[in-house]
Amino acid sequence: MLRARALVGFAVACGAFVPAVFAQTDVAGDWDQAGGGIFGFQEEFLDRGGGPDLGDYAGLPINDALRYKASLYSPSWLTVPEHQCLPHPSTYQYRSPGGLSIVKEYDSVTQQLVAYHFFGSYGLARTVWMDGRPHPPAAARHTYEGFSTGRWEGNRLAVETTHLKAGFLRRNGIAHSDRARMLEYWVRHDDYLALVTAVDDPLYLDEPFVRSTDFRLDPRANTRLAEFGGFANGGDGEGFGASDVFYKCVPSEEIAIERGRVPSFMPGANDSLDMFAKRHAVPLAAALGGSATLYPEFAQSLRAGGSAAGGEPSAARSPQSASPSAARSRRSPESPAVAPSAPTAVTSMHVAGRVWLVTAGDRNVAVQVGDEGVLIVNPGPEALAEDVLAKIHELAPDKRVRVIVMTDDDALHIGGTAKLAAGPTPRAQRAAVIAHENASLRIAAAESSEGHSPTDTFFRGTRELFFNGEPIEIIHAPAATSDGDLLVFLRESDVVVAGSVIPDLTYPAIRTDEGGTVNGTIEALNRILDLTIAEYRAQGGTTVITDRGRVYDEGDVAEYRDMLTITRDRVQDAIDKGLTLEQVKAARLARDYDGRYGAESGPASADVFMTTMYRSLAAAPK
Amino acid sequence: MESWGELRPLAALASFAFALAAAGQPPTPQAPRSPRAAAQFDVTGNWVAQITEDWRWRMITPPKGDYASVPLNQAGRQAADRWDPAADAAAGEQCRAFGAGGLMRLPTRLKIGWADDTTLRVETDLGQQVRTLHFGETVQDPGARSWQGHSVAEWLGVAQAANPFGGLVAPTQEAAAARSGVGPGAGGPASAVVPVARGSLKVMTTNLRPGYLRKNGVPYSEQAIVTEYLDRFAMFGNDYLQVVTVVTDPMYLTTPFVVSNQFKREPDDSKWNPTACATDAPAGTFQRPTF
Repeated sequence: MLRARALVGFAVACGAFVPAVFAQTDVAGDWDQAGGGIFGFQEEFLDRGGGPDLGDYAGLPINDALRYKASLYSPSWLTVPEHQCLPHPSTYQYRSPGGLSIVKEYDSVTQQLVAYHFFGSYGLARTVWMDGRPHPPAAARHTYEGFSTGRWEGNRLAVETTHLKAGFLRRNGIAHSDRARMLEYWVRHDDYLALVTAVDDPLYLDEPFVRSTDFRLDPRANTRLAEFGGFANGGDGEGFGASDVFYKCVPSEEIAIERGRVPSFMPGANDSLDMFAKRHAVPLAAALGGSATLYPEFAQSLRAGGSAAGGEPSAARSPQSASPSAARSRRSPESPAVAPSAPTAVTSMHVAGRVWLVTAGDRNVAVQVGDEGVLIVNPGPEALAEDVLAKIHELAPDKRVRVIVMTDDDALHIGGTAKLAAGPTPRAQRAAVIAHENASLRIAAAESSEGHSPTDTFFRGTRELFFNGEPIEIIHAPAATSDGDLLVFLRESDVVVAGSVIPDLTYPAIRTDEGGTVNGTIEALNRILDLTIAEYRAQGGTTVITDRGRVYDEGDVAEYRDMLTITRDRVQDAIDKGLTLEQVKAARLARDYDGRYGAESGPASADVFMTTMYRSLAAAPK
Repeated sequence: MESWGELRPLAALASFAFALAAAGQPPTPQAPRSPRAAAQFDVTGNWVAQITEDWRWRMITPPKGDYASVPLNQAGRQAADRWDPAADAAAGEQCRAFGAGGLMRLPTRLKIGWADDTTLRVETDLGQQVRTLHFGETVQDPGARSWQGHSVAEWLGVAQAANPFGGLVAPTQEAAAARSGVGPGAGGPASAVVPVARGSLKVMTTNLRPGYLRKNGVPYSEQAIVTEYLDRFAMFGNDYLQVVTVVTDPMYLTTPFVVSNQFKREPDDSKWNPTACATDAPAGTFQRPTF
C-alpha cells in the first residue's frame, strides 16, 4: 500500500512538472522538408530545386558590388577543379534537398550538453557548440560551415556563426563574402521546425538578408540521408542512392579546362542576364534586386508601372556600368564576434604539425619548432622583433633560431631579422638567413640593411632543406609581386607560406619596377594550388599562411586566385578593346572586389592596383 | 506489507519529484494572468513585410496555372486553372487573395495592437483587412464565414523552472550564458542577439470563406484550417516578426501547405498606405519549368 502511494506521488509530481517544461521545445530529431520527402519544398521551389535563373536577384538586399559580381558569374565556374566539390555553406545548406538530422552531444562525465550536430540537407555536417567556448581568433581558418555557438532564448535556439568562407546565397552567382556573419533561430512549433537565418555582409548586402526554412518531424527522415549516399554508402547503382557523390567528392576532369582558367562573363557580355526578367515579365531593374525590391512600395510601383521599378535598369542599377553608388561598401558589421588584432599585438596560434603562426601587428610570421631549433619565415617588422622573439621563446623554450627564410625584401617582412637571427651571446653563431638572390641584392642596396643581409641565397627554381625532421621546399616564384618572391612548403606539416603573393587583407602589391607582374603573381597562386590538397569538400587539408590576415586553405587560395584572374581578364579584355587607363579606371572593373581587397592607400589601393594591372598587362608580351 | 526501509528509495524519489515540481511553480498561488499580461513577447506595433522568398509569386500576380510547390490535388489544380480575375471582380470577390490563408504572404504592412486584454487586432494596409485573434475562447458562435474567419490564439511558452537534467530547457543555459558571458557574440563586444521573446504565439483560424493562397487563384476552400505560429527575433539591430503559416484543406490540398513570412518592425505608421482589395492581371504567361 505504501509503495502504491509513493508511486502515485511520484507520478503526480512528474506530471505536474514535465508537461510545462518539456513541451516540444527541443530541436533534436529527424526532420523532413516541410512538404515531405527530399524535394518537398513549398517555398523557393525553383531556387532550391532545379536552380534559379541567371539574373534572378529580386527580393535580395544586394548592393551594386554584388549585383555586378553576380551579373558576370558563369555557371562554368563550377568546372574549375578547385570548385567542383564546393559544398553549400551553412548560410545556404538548409535550403537544399534531403532530410535533416539534429543530434545532441553530451559530456560523458558532467552530462552537460556540449553541442548540437546537424547532418544532412545536402550540406556539410555541422556543429553548434553549446558549452560556452569562445569563437576562434581572427587569424583562424574559415570554413563553409563556419564556427557556430548557440544558446537557448526561451523556446528558441539562437546560433551565431563566424569564420565563414565566401559562398553562395543563391546558386546564380549571388554570394556572400568571407566577412559575412550569420544569426539563426531554430524554433519548434508542434511538429514543425522553423529556421530563421539572417546573414549580414558589410561588403555585399545593404541590410541583413533574412529568410526562413521549414521542416516537419518525421522519424523516417534520417533515411533521406542514406538516399543521398551520406551514411549508408549504399544504393542500388542508380539515382540518389548510387554513391557518396553528395557528401564525398573528388575533382575530376569532366571537361577540358586549361590550368588556371577561371570562367566568367566579361562586362557587358552576359546575354542571359535578363533570363528571369523575360520569363516572368518583370522589368530588368526589378529582377536585379536590391533592398527596395523587398518592400510593399516596390509592389505598388510595379502595379502602377511606375518609375521605381523602371522598364530598364537605370544607370545606377545597371550591373554592367560603373556608378557612384557602386562605391566600395564598407558598412561596419555590428558587434563583430571576432575582434581584429591590435596593430602592435603579438599573438600565436598553432597552425599544423610543427608550424605556428605568430602575428606581429598585421604581419604574419611563420614559425617551425622542432628538436633542431626554430625556423622562421619572415621575421616581421623591426619594431616588434623583441615581442616576436619573446613569443617564440614561449613556444620553444631553450631553442635557438637556426634558420630564417625571407620570402622577399619587404621591410615589414625582414625588419626583425637582425634581432631574431642573433645568437644568445655575441659570439654565438647567427641563424642562417635564406633569400632569393634578387631580393638579397635589393636588401644589400638598402640603407638600413645592417644585420638583415641574407647569408644564403640561390638563383635556381627551388632550394631544398631538411630541418626538424621535415623536408622543406623553398620555391622561387619568378616575376610575381617582384623578381625575388619565395614560397615555402613545409611538407610534413603540410603548410605553405605564401609571403607577398597572398596578402589576404588587400590586393597584392605588385612592384613592376622590381620585376613584378600580374601574370607572374597569378602563376604563383596557381603554383600554390598545385601544392595544396583539400581534405574534404574543397576545404581543410594543406594550410597556407598568408602575408597578413587569416590563414587559408585551398578553397581560400582559389578564391584569391579567382579574384586576380577574373580582374586580369576584364582588364585584358578592355585593353584588347582599346580602352585607355583612364577609361578602365572609370569603368571600375574590379568594383566587386574593391571593398574586400582595396587598401585605403598605397600600392594595394583600388586605384593604384588598377594602374599597376593595366600597365603590367599592356607591357606583357602577347 | 513493505517495511519503511524498502520504501525509502521510492519516498526519496517522490520527494525529489515534488521538489522539482515546486521549483517550477510560483511560491504562492496567484490569480491567472490575462493573455495580455502573460504575453511571451510584445507583438504589438508596426511591421512591414520583407519579401525575400517566392518573390515572383508574391510581389507580382503570377500567371494562371503557376501553382508550383503548392500541394494541390486534382480538384485544386482544376480550380486554379479556372481562375478568372475579371469574374472575381464582377462578383465583388476582389478580396479572395486577402483572406487569412494568404494574407500574411502579401507585401503588406501590419498594425498590431491589443483590442482588450484577451483580443489582439491585426490590421493590414494592403486590402484593408482586420484580423481579430481571440485568446482563451472555448465555445462561441463564430457567425458567418468571412475572409479572416474565426481565430483563436494561445501563447506557447516555456516554464521558468531550471532543468536539473541539463540541456533541454532554455532558462538553464540562458542563465549560464549570461553568467559566463558566452554564447553568440562571444569574443567581441555586446552580442548582436538581444532576447526579445521567450515563447511563441499560436493562432488557429477556421470558419473561412474560400480564398486564394496566391493571387493567381491558387485555392483554399471553406474547409481550410489555417494554423499560424508567430515569433519575434532581434537580429543585427533589427526587430523581426516571423509568421509560419500552415494551411490544411481536405478539399484542395494533399498535404499541409507550410510557408513562413517575415516582417520588420517600423518605428511608426508613417508609411501606412491603405489600399482596397484588387484583382490584378497576371504578369506574363506561365512557362512550365522543363527540368
